[in-house]
Amino acid sequence: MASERSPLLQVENLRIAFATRRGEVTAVDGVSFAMAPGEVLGVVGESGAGKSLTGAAIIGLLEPPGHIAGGRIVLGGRRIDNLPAPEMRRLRGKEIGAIFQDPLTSLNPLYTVGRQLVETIQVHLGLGAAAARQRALDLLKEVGIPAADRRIDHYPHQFSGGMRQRVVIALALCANPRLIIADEPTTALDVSIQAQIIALLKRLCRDHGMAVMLVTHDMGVIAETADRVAVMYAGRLVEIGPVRDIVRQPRHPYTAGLMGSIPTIGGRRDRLQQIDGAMPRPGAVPPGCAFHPRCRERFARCLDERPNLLPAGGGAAACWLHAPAEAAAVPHG
Amino acid sequence: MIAFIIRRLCQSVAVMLSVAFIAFALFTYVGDPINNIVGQDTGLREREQLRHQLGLDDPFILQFARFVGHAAEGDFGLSYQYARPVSELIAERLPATLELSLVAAVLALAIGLPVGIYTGLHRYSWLSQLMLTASLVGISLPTFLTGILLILVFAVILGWLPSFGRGSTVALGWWTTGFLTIDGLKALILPAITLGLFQMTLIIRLVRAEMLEVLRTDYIKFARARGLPNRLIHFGHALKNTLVPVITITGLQLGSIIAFAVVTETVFQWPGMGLLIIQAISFADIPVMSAYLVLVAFFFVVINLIVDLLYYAVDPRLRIDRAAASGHGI
Repeated sequence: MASERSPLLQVENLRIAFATRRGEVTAVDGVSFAMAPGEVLGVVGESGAGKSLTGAAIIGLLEPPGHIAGGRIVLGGRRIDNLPAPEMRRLRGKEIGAIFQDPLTSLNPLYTVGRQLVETIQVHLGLGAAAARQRALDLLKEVGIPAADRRIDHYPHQFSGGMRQRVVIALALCANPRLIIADEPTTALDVSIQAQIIALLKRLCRDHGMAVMLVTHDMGVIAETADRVAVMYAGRLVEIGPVRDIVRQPRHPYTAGLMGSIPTIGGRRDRLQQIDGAMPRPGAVPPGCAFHPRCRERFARCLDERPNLLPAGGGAAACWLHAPAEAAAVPHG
Repeated sequence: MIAFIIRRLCQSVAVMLSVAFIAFALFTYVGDPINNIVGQDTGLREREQLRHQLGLDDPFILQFARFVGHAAEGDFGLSYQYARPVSELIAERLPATLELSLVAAVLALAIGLPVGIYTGLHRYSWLSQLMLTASLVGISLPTFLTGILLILVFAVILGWLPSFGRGSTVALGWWTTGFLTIDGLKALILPAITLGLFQMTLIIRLVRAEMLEVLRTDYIKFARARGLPNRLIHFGHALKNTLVPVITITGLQLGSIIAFAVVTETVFQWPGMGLLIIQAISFADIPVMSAYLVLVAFFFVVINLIVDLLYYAVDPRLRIDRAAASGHGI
């Protein structure tokens, strides 16, 4: 596991809650994981599983009424979840970059891409106008924008979706951050463009030694890109481990269900498996294991005792099947 | 760009022609102009003679062409009421109305814009709530009532400001201005507030709504994720994106300020075009009415043209047509 090196990011027991009229609703509950420098961690789960919220919490952009209600986030040995707003602002873009889902709406339509790059570079690196523009130009070249010296003065609407996502990536790279939170970076793109963007992210990650937290619901993208995978369900981390292990032999019944629902070329299965039922909404998560109502392997302990991450295979799974005492027991359910 | 301007100019000419047509129809169909000129005991023959002299028996198209030709030169004939050229009457009154409208519009923008931005950025602060509640009063009070209340408080009870008229003015050529005397400036305050109040509250609410909308967009979130300081995000990125709708409404409102100065001018006995048109209507002074109609339409058309050009300056997406055609969109 990557945690043998000193971790770049540590998330410990993170809890994100929303203040509503009916009291606090917990959307992310007790999530812990670590990321090593230069590591690509894929975070998967259904919509509403809390994966984007976790990313937003790390970069300090949770939108009210959402807030961090517990736990710690440590970046490079420095606790960042309780930083005052101006310090967190200086951290954003400089140490943690972000890439959002929709490149069409991530750029301000009224300014040229060059201007948006230059302002970001100047805010973080304090370069002069000419040096900042040169760096902007270099970044555009690095992310593969053809004729960058001409394109730098173009407006976002003059770029295609894939090119815009490259510009967004260049913007995230402005200050050479150590960590990039990429929230569904390829979801809004054509399949053929997706592969290019993923290849670009992988190359940048390797060249700059950046760690990338890749939030997506696309297992294909994860299998292609990530070193490790974290699977989230109903605001909890249910399984984490090396991507190879999890794709080949998932240890949590939910992950297994998730893998079973992916179509494969060659058609070895006649039907895609599906998991019956739906993920519980925040605030309506059942006691015990959050997945137990939908789980085919549940037993008595799952109903009232919440499992923590237990070592399983090359990683860890939050499932009582992997408790030392239960491992040999016959599931009945 | 040039094609765009030419297209807009053609549209403007079409609008002006239709308005001129309505103004012209006033003459022809609202009563008989001869009746308005001659006395009761004028004989039929003399009436016919006069009708011929004035060209009123010419074909409709010819009369309309003549009207447009004269109007283009600023000639709208003689006022029935004053027996003086309408152009002279309007030239006398125009400066008063334009100065009042200008001050009202500047006031509305100078207060409306910052308050709108503030209430948009600080949604839940008590000051925002207070200003929004106050703006509700401004938007719901009718103009004449605001005017009368202001007169009551500042002219009658406190005695600080004059309740009517323009005060003393200074003539600069044919233009008379109230900007250069203390008296004239004091007289401007109450009518300008009355006239600008509604527009001001409208601008506050518009800017606030636009600000809230823009602050929710992805590019503002992304600007935060890039670590830009708040000031740059709010005033550099968000404000500029709210400008297009704000320019539209402000432009249209400036037109309405000029056109609907009528009520305010009546309340304050302001010697502008509004007062002139009210008197003209009660006297059925059709040349004055039609001239006013054409003039107000002209203001609207010019303002709209300027608004369109401002869009062009603000939003690069409107400038793209040619670039896209030459193959820059990859």
